[in-house]
Amino acid sequence: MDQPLSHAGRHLLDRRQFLQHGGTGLGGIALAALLAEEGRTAAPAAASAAAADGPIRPIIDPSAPYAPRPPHFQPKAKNVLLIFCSGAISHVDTFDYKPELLKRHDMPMPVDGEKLITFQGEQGNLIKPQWEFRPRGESGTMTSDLLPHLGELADEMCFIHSMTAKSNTHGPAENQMATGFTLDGFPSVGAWVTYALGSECRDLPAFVAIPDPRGVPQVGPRQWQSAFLPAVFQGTPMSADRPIPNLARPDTITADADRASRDFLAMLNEQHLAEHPRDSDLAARIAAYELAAKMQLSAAEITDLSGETAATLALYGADDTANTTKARFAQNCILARRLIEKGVRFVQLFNGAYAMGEGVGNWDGHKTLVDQYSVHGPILDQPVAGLLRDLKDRGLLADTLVAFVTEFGRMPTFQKGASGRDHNPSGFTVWLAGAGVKRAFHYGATDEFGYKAVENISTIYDLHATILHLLGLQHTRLTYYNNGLERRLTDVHGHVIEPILA
Amino acid sequence: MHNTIDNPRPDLLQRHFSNLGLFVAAVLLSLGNTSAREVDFERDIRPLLRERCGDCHGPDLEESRLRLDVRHRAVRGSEFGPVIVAGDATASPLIERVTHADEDRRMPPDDALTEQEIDLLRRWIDSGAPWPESDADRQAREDEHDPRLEHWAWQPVQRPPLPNPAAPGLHPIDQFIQAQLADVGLKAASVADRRTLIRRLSFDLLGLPPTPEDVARFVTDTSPDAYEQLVERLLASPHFGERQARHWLDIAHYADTHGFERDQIRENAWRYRDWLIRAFNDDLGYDAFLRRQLAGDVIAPHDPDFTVATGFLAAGPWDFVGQVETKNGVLRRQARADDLDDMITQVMTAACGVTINCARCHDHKLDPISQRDYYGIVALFSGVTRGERSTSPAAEAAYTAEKERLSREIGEARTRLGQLSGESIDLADIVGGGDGYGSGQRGAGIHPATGALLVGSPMGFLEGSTANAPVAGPTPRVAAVFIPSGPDPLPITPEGPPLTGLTKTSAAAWDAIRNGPVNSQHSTVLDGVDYASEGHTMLGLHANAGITFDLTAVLQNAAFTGPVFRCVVGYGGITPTDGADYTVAVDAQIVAHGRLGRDDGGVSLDIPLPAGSRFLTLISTDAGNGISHDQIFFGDARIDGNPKTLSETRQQEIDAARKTVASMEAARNALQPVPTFYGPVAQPPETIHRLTRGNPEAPAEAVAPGTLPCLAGLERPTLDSQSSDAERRQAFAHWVTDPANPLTPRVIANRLWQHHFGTGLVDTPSDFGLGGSLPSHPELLDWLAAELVSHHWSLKHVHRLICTSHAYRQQSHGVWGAPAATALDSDNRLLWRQNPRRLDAESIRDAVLSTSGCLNLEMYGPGYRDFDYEEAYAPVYTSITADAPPLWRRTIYRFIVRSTPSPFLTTLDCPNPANLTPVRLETTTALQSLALLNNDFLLRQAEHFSTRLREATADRDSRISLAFQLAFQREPDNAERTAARELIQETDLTQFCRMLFNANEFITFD
Repeated sequence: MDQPLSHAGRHLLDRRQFLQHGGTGLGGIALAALLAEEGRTAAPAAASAAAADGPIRPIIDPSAPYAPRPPHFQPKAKNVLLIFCSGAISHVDTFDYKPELLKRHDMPMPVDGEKLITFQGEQGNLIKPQWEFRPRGESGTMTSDLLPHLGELADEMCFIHSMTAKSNTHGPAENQMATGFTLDGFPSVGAWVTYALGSECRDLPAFVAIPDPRGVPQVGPRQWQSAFLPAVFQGTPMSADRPIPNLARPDTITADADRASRDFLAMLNEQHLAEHPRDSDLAARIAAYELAAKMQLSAAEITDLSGETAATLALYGADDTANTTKARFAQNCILARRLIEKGVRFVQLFNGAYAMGEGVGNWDGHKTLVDQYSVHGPILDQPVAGLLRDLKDRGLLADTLVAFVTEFGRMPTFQKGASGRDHNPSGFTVWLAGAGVKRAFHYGATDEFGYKAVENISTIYDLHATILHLLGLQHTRLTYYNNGLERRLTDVHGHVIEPILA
Repeated sequence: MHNTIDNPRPDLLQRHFSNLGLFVAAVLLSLGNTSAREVDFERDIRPLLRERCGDCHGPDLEESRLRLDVRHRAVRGSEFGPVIVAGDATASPLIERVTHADEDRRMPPDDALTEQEIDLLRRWIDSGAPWPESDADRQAREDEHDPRLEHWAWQPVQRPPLPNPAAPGLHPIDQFIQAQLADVGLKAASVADRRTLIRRLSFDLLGLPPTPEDVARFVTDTSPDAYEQLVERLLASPHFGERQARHWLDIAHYADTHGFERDQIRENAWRYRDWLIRAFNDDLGYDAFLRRQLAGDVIAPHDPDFTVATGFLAAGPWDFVGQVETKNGVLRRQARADDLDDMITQVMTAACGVTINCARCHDHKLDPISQRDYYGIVALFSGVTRGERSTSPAAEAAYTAEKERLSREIGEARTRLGQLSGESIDLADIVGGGDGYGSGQRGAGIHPATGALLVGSPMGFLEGSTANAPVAGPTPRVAAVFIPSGPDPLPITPEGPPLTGLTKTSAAAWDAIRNGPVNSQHSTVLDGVDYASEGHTMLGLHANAGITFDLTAVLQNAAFTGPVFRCVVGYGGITPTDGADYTVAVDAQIVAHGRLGRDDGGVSLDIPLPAGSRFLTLISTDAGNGISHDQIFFGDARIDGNPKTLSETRQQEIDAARKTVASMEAARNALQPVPTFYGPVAQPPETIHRLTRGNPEAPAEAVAPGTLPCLAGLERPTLDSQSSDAERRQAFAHWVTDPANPLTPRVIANRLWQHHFGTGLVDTPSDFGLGGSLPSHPELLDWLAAELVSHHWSLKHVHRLICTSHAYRQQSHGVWGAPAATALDSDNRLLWRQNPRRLDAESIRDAVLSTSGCLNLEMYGPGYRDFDYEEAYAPVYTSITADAPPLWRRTIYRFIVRSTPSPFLTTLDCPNPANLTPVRLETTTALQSLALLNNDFLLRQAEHFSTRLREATADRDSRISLAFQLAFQREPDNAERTAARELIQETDLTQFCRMLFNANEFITFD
């Protein structure tokens, strides 16, 4: 919808703006015509939404910012589950099978001319995968013994083996996977999606981020920030054992006292509203308090896993008493399914945390990869496999797109003098599953060692464009005006990866 | 004159005429004026230029942006400047290049002009380079005309006449506003009531609610100018600067940490925030305000009022990993390019409302700004990096010199004192196995974990040491050695009394306790005295270690009475400050303690040992930061006293010498170090290249520093690639604040308007370009801009104008005829009423604190830190609830951590300081409701609020009245009073207070 008067229309949720959307649209037009006659406020070129390739800015009703909004075209997926492995999980030890590494184990990697200096320094020899690869599923997809449960579901997965990142440093690279930009200060994918589409679920946040039980990823809340998008579209962090902030009524206040207090508040606000007729912003705040009350009930319910069957707990490994970190992560995986079930638009599930140190709590295996991955593998494997299987069994994969990503890959070599792999943004693997993507499909490839993407080289822009496409959104047209620019998730880049679409 | 085509901008050329340095431009004017007799342009020159130069300098290639095939382009010259100096062939770059001795530089390449051709060119230029404009020339010139240059914002500010001079009583602002309202048949609303007005003014100007007393005073003020007086009172309030600084920090994206991956602390960034507050309070002229922020450090390098202002340039994020840590050159170049982009984007959007950053990868899509222009602006700042720096290098040098002088004198005085003192017992000698009179071995030491005497045998890190397990030393004089750690009690000997009061250490140790320096000691010098040299001794005590001397054994043969332990304790490591701690105890009672670093010099200790004292203990601990470089040592550590044989004169000399040392040490301690702040650190400017598609790995041609050519009326600074950083920034600062700059005064006038109405006259306040909005009231904007400049750029003058206008004072609701007005102008851009507004996040927090009575109004200084800090590769910040007076300061004093935003403030739409925020977004969410209902800070504030009410009055109804006065600046009506009574009856006063904080009326104002 275009705003003939000015950029005012671009500022979502601007209180004065709402009158125009909520009331008569005639007003803006009449004034615009008057001003245009003066020759001073001719509509700027940017008001070109009517054009076929112009920006499409969703119109947000401030009293119901999560209300579902139509996509640009018929979507394949309604929800997204983004699983982020923090610290850069090694593709050559998991999903990208490179027999050449077995042949050339402990031999130097041939490199054209340049001396290979990666993030931490010089490289040693090529090193074979540290876990054996076997064919899995009917497709016979080769995956490693590090993640056997996930391997069993290889037929569900649509692999992109040729992913590339712009930075080989965790912070900027995490930023890029989360927001499209290596710099701080850009909205996350989930924020863009909820900005565009709202949510099917009215009494839960539209975008939920579930941090790993061990802590938050490297860039922390920037993974789910709204940046210059309205704050309402930022992800709400919650996990199975850490509910939404400020959700619970404080222990010191009884339920009766809380109810009486809120009745008093409602009375104050209604009386105030009566003196401010037509002020939709004040009305929206009253509605927000009502929604908050609903959310207190539904969000408390959603994290209560006591109704899950023993079979479900066992499927995810949430009953694993020997590995409590795994059990807690598994509970987060169950929470993710419950949120998807409720229609939450975007769920971002984190595996791995940053603060514990290099590779200790995440996939950053520079020095002692086997030791560290032997801890992280079991925490990730069964719970995420259980989640995927459960989504499938419940029919949720029909509407839900699952994306399994990490910030970059790792080197096929070991670092000089160490038993681990350095950062490698030149080629790595991510996979999708569920709504709208092919099953048991492999797209793109790295070279014979898994060092560089060489076939159908893909970018994070492409991945983001594809996610938006599956949700029925044109990544080139979903924009938000900020500081002189029509901002996009994909900046000025990105192509939908058509071959992987089902 | 044949024509005036060369002179489309008479103003520009007049300026150039007045500037002798731009002789070239002046001479160019004559191009075409003088007729040639010998050379005929059309016959001899045009074909020559076309055929010999046109391939590269024609319409196809435009090498170096030079075209020699059409007149106006030949006149303009290349990207490096004019190439033809009419009347002077020798001075013309064109001739220089066609005759260049260096084949690589000679034009045309590989196909030099003939002597005859060169001669023709020379004669043509010397004769004035006549070039009559042909039809084709004219066509080319007209085709190139760029309509974007006519955009309103680039045109000079014209002070418009007042629309209604016949209404002299009508405020000038209202003349503009009401004229436009009348055009569409609308009228301004009535003036709001006084309670509404004082609430509006207080939040707008101070960011705080008025006190009930302020309200009563204003509401009952019968003087005709009561309102104007109130405006004056508020403009004069010190809290005015705090409020205005918050707006400016939004567009400077200020924070107290670097951001990015390793989000380290900037300890002294706050000095810039304080500078802003003072500048707004003092009403520093906006031109000076900008000049100092852009170039204060080069305008007055030693005046903190100027230098600290440049904290503006460094206020944004900075990538430590990308700029410093990474070994990868590609990443470093990218990080630096991002850094400069961030800096110039901030500067250009803040001051000029120009989205220069859009031209980083290609020419600006909307505005007449080329990619070269972008890199020209980058080059203005290529001599700036960000870092901790002195507020006054001159004062810094004076401080250092004075400290060095005093230190030298202290050292000399101490040596003299040692010579006077005579037969003393040296503790270092005892550590070396001796008796205190020189029998020990220099360099020998005692193993702190075993007590064994070591001769030589330097040791490193002592593995597996046990803390607080004293063992006896090698001689009876050493009662014990040990590795200390608090807070557990430390037995100072195996049987000895416990010492308490130490902090926890790493319980690690290094090398032995030495008669001399410890292994790998960085320095043995304190205040110019080398304690390892002849005539001095030193007792080396690396953390964590301690030694207890048995005084009975040590003093058994003493030749004096009244023993006193004297020494100079110092730090021998490399860390400038806070390196390690020393502790001295007598009989397990701590008598001296301190934390030392390399910059601290030595501390003289003078500790009497009372009769009957048994143990003297010396301890070195690690200050809680590990034991690297923790090299404490005790210079000339001796016990002496009143010598049994000393003359009275000698004794007096000794006493006098001691006093001298003491007074000089006091003088040194009294020296105040010169403050530092986080700001621009100058370096020789880097050469800036245009980067193809913005890629630092694809540099194209070098670009000299420059400004925006689209602002045609401005004198452009004369800068080139040799200009210093100081010249670049100073010239730029003057360009920005040139009274003829059409953007600078308009942009700030618009921002002030926005702060008073919620929306600017231009509602894209940081984009005045073609992509931005047109002003709703163009004449008013220009009138305000002109007022600003003509009133010495006084911002308070503009605030005063706006606040005293009827447009500002009118009602925001209950407006007669509102439905009709809404139908015509739903956005209220014509201002038929005032806009109601919600408080921003900071104002909500400040209002809560103010209402509860907790607000701590202390101004200035380091920010309050409502988080726990954990040192790490990437530091960890954990938010805590602000529940103590030091954390109850105004939110402008919040220590802002980029990586860890305040959850409470963020939920209330406080922006992320990674972004430049010209307009605060406002959202309404259930999470906000939950935060205001249940957040720990709010709950505790509700309790404090109820305590305030209880302490003020015992009567329930009076409490309700006072609460409404404090929260809403009004009395409750009957219904509200009844409901409040019932709530308090049913729950308690705190619940009532909690709900007032949640009320719509509390967080909005009309």
